[in-house]
Amino acid sequence: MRRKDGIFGERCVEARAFALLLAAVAAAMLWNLLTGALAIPCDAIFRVLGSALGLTDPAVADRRFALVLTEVRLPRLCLACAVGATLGFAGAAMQGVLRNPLAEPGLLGTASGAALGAVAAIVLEGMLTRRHDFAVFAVPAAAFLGAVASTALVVAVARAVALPSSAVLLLTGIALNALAGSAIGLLISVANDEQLRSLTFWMMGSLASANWLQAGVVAAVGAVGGAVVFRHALALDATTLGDDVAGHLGLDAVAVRGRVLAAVALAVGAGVAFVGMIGFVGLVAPHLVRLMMGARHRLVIPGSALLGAVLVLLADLAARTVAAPMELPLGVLTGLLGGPFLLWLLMRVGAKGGVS
Amino acid sequence: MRIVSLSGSLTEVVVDLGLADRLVAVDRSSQLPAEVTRKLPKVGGPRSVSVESVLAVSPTVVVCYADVKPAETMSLLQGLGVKVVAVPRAATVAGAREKIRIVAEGLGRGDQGRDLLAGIDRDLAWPEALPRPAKPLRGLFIYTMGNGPLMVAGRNTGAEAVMAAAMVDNAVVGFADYRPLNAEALVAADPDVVIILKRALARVGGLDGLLAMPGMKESGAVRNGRIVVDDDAAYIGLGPTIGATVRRLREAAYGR
Repeated sequence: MRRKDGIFGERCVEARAFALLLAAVAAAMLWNLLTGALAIPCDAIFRVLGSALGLTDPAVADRRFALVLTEVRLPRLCLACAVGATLGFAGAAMQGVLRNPLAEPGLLGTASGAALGAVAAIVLEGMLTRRHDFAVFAVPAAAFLGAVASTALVVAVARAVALPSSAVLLLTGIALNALAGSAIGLLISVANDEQLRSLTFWMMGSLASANWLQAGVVAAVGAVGGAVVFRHALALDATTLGDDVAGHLGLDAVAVRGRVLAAVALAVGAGVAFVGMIGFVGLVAPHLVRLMMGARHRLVIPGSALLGAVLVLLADLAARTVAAPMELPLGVLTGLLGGPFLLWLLMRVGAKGGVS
Repeated sequence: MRIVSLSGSLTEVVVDLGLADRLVAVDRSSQLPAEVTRKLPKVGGPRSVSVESVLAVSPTVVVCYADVKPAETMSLLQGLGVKVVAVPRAATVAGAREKIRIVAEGLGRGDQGRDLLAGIDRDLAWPEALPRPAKPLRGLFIYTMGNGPLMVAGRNTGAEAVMAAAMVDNAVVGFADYRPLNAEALVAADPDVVIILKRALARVGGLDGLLAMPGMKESGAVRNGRIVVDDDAAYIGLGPTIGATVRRLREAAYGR
């Protein structure tokens, strides 16, 4: 979008873009609320919501509809928002920290570490113990630990090898991703049929087992991580110009990177722990937002969070309704949705003569 | 005779034919009976057999499904003079009976095979004392749960065949094979009987975890106490325990 001259014109464009994003989030949430495998009439939905808020008589609300709305649809919708927003701001932060437009939350081992943890928990659980009852917690816990540990390892290795510049971080991340990928492949080759089904779904992401606890945890950790990242928005702008420039401005680029990466690893780790790997959102959301409102992190970070939420909400809507009563893997749909959207926006910007 | 079995249910048949001590290797899906399979070498996983590992235990006969992967397995073994007993894969009770017959004949245990089948048929037969249901109950078979969505049996599955033999209709008709079921669709399906594998139930923390599933508490299955917890041997693999499994399901659904 071409920027108008003058501070007021710019503000206006940004405000309009944010209004658009907020409207898109609201519309996507409403759409998610109104559709599902179980057909619930609109008036029943508003009766249930009304009785939940104490506005209408609870006796009127259908028990089954109420159950589906409050225990299935609403928590899943909230989890989709929280995961999407986390991936969105995490992508923006990663692209800023690494000064690389292809960066995404998975690049520094966060996603592959989580995947290795989860796959190891799914496959080895059956070998190490006859007890299965701890798997409900073991898989998310192992995924979270894997995400945080692998990111910490990447940073530590990069620091030991050389100055943790973004290029060294990136290469270390690629090396560790390859290692984790091989370890996952090894575990897959010894998995049995049932484990294969479980871990395939985990690798492709799904919100199917969403509940209020998961939505709450992901939202809380994501909010903390997002706040930390947002506080470093100006510092990220400065480091984009290079570590030297940032140094001249009185900023410790290495420390900024460390704090932002830690916040991203924690937030993304909490997200993928429950929903598995969801690709493309973290990569595409920041680019779309930059096309809309420029490259300043103060805007890109919250904008990417909103757009990430929209993308995951729409993808999950498709995941749970397109093939109903069957569930589709979410990760497949985020790419299917985000790819053409990015192409369309690129072509529009190209036609207008604006280059981002 | 040195036997290699390349599928869990086929291993069970071989053992039930009294040939446990002739088994020299099995595949990784062969978990039952544990006291037999635990100490045997594993020569491959689901749909990926290592022909070299099979040859390394110098078998005289290999028992496998006709669709064994890699596809060259059977011709390679036959070319090297190993007898191959191949069974067509069919997710039906008739297919399960045929499987036992072919393996028994192929291993020269025709009589034991007929005895085994007679026992299964006794279990499969509808008891005369039990009135036939006017309207079959609708069953939901849960394969895995706990990590991600609920994986349930759709059409054309072994679990559906077992349910049909017990006169229970599959509550899930929207798709074929074992697939993830949408939680709202679970509420909408409202099954009268829930069949869950022991392992899957343990994974969600027992019955409490199952009851915490959306819509489960309100379902006819829970209200009438029709929750069947069973092993996966017969439901998934349609092995020789199929008769007893059908009988247990019938008793849980309709009483003795």
